[in-house]
Amino acid sequence: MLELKNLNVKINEKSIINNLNLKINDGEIHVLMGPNGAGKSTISQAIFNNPLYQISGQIIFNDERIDNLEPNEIANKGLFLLNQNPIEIEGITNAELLRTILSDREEKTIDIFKFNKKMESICKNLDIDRKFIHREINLGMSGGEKKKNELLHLWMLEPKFIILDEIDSGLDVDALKTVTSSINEYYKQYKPSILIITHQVKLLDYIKPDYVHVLQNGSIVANGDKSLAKKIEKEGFYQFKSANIVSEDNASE
Amino acid sequence: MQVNNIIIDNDLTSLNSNEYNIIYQNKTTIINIMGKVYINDFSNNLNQQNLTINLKENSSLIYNKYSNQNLEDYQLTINSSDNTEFKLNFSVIAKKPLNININNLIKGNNNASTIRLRIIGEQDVNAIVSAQVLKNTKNNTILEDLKGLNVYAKKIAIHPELLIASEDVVANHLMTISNIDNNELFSLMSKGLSKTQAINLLQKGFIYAIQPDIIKNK
Ligand SMILES: Nc1ncnc2c1ncn2[C@@H]1O[C@H](COP(=O)(O)OP(=O)(O)OP(=O)(O)O)[C@@H](O)[C@H]1O
Ligand SMILES: [Mg+2]
Repeated sequence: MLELKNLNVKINEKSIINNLNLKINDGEIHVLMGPNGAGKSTISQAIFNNPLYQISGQIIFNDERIDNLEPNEIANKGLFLLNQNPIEIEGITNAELLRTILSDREEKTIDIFKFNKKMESICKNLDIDRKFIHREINLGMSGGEKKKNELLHLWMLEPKFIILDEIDSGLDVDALKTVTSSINEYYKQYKPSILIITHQVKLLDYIKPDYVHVLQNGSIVANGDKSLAKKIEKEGFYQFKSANIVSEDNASE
Repeated sequence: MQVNNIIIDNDLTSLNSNEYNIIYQNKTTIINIMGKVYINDFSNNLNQQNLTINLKENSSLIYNKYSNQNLEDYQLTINSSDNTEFKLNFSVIAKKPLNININNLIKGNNNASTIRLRIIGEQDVNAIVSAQVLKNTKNNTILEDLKGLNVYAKKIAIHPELLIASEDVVANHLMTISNIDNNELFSLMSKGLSKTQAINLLQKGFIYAIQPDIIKNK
């Protein structure tokens, strides 16, 4: 279970997230929506304690505070972040990265044969060439390929809590099907918790969420289920503007 | 045209064939390139290297060099005649204070040269990379792509110099000295690598990015 308690996040003294509370139980799928610049990606970075962001409040994972851990310690607790814009890293291959992490985690050299077999079958399921195994991390890949490449990491690392920041952006129709069915398959096998950040309600036709939250100006202004997403699709985020003002008034009283 | 793979390693003292001719005396080497040649050089126990490469007409050379140990002084002169192609991929982790002096001398026409340099300085490094194109030469291109990665708070200085006396030249240089990229570091750490491991991998990536597998796997 992941819990954000009174989370505040600043970047260069500018307040981005204000007193945010969110609880995601084991095996639940939550969706976070909200207009551009609302602070959705900032939350995902804050959960991973990106040093660029100043964080206060509490982030609790399985009854343990993780807000003062290093990003790698957080990852090794079983959290995984699929970035909105996956970073390209020259000179380091997927295989090298994953081998290093896994052998470190298991405190022994990994079985290369099994490792390669698993990588190959994941590539097949993701409909990417097995050459991706030895490609440099996201380097020169198309937008959609990068998302798939990150999913390759996800499958190899087997996380328990997954943040998907706009996994659907830049995917063509076929890729969207491949990617979502890969996520659904992972969910079926491992029952992780998932936090999905998206703008497209269409994604929720493929992945069924338990809860939908709306973030605006760094605060959650509405909670609901898939029907809330449908409502946003029809009416936009504007409807929540007044709700936001009301909650701010309440806070100042 | 026949392709020759020459590997200069620590034990090599001299090597001859019909296509190329290497003289490697003590610490000075002259290589005459005829035909299409690759050199993979991971000679690591030399502290001084002084190399002259003569590219004969219509020849090409890809020279990959990697060093991570004792090198303190590296002098390379390239003499290009006509219709040649030269590529240098030079990666070095300086464990000792290091001087690099590369002099690319273009004497004729239709020559293309690319010099790529990747330096990590565990000690101070001073590199001069100069290209000289003589008067009345035609259709030569030069690319210098020179990068230093600053991890150990040592001084890395890279000086590209272009001395061009001809009007018919395309010369570009690109020079950066940077620190470890914070976004890359965070990205690797958020997958589970410790800071030390991530920095190690980033250094390796930086240094090997320009090298072929034969050198990477060494
Ligand atoms: N590194 C940064 N430096 C300065 N400002 C930043 C930085 N990162 C985010 N911000 C600002 O924080 C606010 C929230 O950004 P964030 O990326 O979290 O939005 P988002 O909800 O993910 O938007 P989008 O839907 O466009 O991805 C924006 O105003 C953005 O400009
Ligand atoms: Mg975002």
